[in-house]
Amino acid sequence: MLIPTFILFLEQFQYLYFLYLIGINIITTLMIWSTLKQMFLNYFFDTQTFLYQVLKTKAYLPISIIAPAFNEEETIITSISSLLKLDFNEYEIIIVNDGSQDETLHQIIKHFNLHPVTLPIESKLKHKTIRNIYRSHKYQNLIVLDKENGGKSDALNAGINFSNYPLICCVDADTILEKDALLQGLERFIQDKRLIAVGGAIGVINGSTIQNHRLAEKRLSNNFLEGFQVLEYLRGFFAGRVGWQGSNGLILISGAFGIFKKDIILKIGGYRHTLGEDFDLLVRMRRYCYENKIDHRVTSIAEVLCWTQTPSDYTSLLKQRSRWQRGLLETLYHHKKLIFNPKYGIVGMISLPYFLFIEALGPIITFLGIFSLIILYSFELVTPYTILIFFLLEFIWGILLNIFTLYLDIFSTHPYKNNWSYMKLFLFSFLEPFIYKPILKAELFIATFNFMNTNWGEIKRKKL
Amino acid sequence: MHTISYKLLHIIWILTEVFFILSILFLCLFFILKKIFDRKKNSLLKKTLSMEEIVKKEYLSLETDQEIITYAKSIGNILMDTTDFEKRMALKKHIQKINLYPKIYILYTHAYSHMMRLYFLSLIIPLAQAESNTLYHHILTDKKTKDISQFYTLAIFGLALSSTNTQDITSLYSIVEKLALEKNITQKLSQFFFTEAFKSVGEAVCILFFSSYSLKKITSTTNAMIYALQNIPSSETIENKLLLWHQEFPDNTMLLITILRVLYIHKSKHYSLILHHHTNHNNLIRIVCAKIGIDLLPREKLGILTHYLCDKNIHVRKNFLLSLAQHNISFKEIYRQTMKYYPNCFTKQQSCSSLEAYKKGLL
Repeated sequence: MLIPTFILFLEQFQYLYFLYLIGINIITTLMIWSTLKQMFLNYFFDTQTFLYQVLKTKAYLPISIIAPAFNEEETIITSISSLLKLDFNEYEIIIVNDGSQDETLHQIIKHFNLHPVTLPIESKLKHKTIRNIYRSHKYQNLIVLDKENGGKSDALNAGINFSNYPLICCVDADTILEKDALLQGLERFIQDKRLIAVGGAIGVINGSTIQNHRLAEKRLSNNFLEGFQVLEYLRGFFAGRVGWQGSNGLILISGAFGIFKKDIILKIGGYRHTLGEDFDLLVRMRRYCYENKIDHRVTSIAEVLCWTQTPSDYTSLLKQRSRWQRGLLETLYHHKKLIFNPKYGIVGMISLPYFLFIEALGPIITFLGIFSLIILYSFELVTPYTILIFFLLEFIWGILLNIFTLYLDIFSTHPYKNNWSYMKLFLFSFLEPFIYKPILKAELFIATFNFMNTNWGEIKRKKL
Repeated sequence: MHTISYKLLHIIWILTEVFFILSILFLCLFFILKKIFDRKKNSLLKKTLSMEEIVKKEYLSLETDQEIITYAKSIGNILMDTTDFEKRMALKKHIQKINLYPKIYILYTHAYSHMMRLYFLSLIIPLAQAESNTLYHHILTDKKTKDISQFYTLAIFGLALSSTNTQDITSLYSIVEKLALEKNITQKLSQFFFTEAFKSVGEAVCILFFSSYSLKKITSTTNAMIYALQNIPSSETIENKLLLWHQEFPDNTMLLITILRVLYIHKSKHYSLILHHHTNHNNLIRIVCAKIGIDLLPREKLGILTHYLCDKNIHVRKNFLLSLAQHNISFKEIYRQTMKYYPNCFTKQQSCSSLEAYKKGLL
C-alpha cells in the first residue's frame, strides 16, 4: 500500500518538476531578451560626456561609501586604494573594522598614516561600541571606525550613523570598484527621484592582474571553480537583475555593490542582523515604501561596476552558498506576510513568489525530480523519451542560457580583452550544468533543511 | 503508466528542437552583428580632431558621413569644454556657416534604430544650434521617444544648450516643470539643465531674465532654477532679487536654504539672512547656517554662531566644526568668542566636549 502511494506521489511530482523547469527556463530566457533590449539602446550612446558635464556643474548628490571589514588583511589595502581613486567630486569612504582578529586595522593605520580623532557620531541606528575613529592627513575623505565585532549588518549600521551624505554606497571590503561606478549610479539617481536603490553587475576578480591597486589586466582564472562562478555571476546579473528592473520587480541588490537612499534606510532602522542582509534590506525598503504609499523604483545597471573575489575552493564556496540559501529562507520567512499580498504590488505578487518557488524551493524540487525519474525509470514507469525531455530542459537549455549570457557580456562591457578567456568561458558553459550546478544544488538542498543555523562561515581570501 | 502524455511530449520535443536550432542561428547572427557593430563603434567613437584640424579647409567640404560625424563630434567636444562666452558664440557661428546641423540631422532622420538615433542626437546636442529646438520639441512629444529616459533627458539638455534669449529660458522652465511632474526628474537634474541654459545665454541675458521674473509659487523646479544661479557671476540685481523672494515667501524653508547657498557661492556681503535665521528651529536651516555662516558673516560677528558648538543636532555641530577647521580659526579664538557672546550658554561639560572634539579631531 505504501509503495504504490509513494510511486503515485513520484509520478505526480514529475508534473511539478516539469513545470518548474519550463518556468525557470522561460523566465530566464525572457529576462535575457529584456536585458538585450536595454543594452542595444546604450550601445553607441556615450553617457560619460553627459555625466562629466553634470559633475562640472555640481548638480550631483554626494555619496558615502561604507565598507565593513572583518579579517580582510589580504585585500583591504588594495580595496581602499582603489576606492580613493574613483572619478567623483564629493564622496567619503568609511571603513568599519568589525573587530578583526588579524592585522586588518594595523595595516590600514600604517599604510594610510591614520591618527585617532574624536568625532561625534549620530546614534540613529543601533550597533556595537565604537572603540576608535581614525582619519588620515593625506586622504581627507577616508575615515576608519574601529568597533567591537557585531557582524556585517552591525558594521554597516555604524557606518551609516557616521555618514554625512544623502546616498549610501555599501561595498564589500574585498572589492575593487570601476572608476566610474559612483558616476553611473549617480546618473540613475538624478534622473528619477523615485529611485531608492541602484545595483550593478559584479565581476569576478580571480585570475586578473592588479598593479598599483588597480585592475591592470582582466583575465579569467584557470581554476575551473572560479570560471564556473564567472558564468554564474553573469547569468545572475544579465538574466536576472537587469531583467527584473524592467518590471520594477527587483528585490535583490548584491552586498558587494549597491547605492541606496539614506533617508529610507534610516526610516526602516538600518540593516537587520541576518545572514542575507542585502536581500533583507531591499525587501524591507520596498515594504516600507508600499506601506507608506511611496512611489518608488529600484534599478540595476547592466555593466560591471565592481570586481570581487569569489571562493577558490569547494569548501569556501559551499559555505558561502549555504549562507546565502539560509539567508534567503530567513528573509522569505520574515516577510511571509508580503507573499501573494496585492498590497505589495509586483514585489508581493511576482518577485517574492519567484524567489520562494524558484530560488528557495528550487533545490528541493530538482532533487526530488531527479530522484523520482531514477526510481520511475528503474521500475520502467517512464520511457527513455521522457528522460530525454527532462535532460533537455535541465541541461541543454541551461547550456544555451549560459552561452546567451556570455554573449551579453561580450556585447556590453567585454571585460576580458584576451579571446582565450572567452574561449574558456564558452567551454565552461557546456560543463557547468553537469559539474558545477549539481554540486551547488546538493549543497543548497542540505542548507534548506539547515536554515536554523546562523553560522556565517569563514571564507578563505587570496592576497590582491 | 506514462506520466506525461506522449502527445504533450511530442510537442515539447518539437519546441525544444526548434528552440535549439533557432538559438544556434541566433548565436551566429549575434556574433556577426557584434562584429559589425564593433567596427562601426570604433570608427564612430574613436576618431576626433583637434582645434587646428577643425579649421583646416579640407574638412569643410564634409561630404561623407564619416567626415560629418568626426567633425561634429570634435567641434561638439570643444564647445562643451569652452567656458568663454565669446569663444562659444564664435564656434556656434562657425557651425552655422558650414551647415553642419542640417547634415547631422539628415543622418538622424535616416537612422534605422533608436540606438543610432540616440547616437546622432548626442552629436547634435553639443553643437547648441537654435534651429535644433524643433527636433527636441518633437522628441518630447513623439510617442515613440517621449517615454524613453535617454531621449527626453538629452532633448532637454539640448534645449538648455541651445538657449539664446529669455523666451528660451521661460520655455525651458515650463518643459522642465512638466517633466518633473510626469517623469519624476530630480531637482538636481533640473538644476543641471538651468545651469547649462544660463551658461548658454550668458550673464547679461540671465540678469535681464531674472530682473523681470516674478516668483508666483515655489516648486522643486523654481528652487532648481534659483540654485543654478550659483554658476553665474554675482551681481547686485540678482542678490537683491533673492532677498526680495525671501521676503515674499518667508516661511518656505527650501527657498531660504537655496537663497543662502547662492549667496554663499556668490561670496555675498548680505548677511542679514544669517543674523535672522541662525537660531531657527528648523534643523536644516541651522545646518546650512553652520556650514556657510562663517563665510557670510564678518569676522567680528562670528561669535554669534558659537552656540552651534552645543546645538542639539549633531549635523549642526559637525558642520560648524568642519567649517571652523576649513577656515583655520584657532581654538583660542573660538573659546574667546564663545565666552564673549555666550558666557553662560554652555554647561561646562558641553562646551568642553565640543571644543575638545574640535581640537582633537579637526585641528
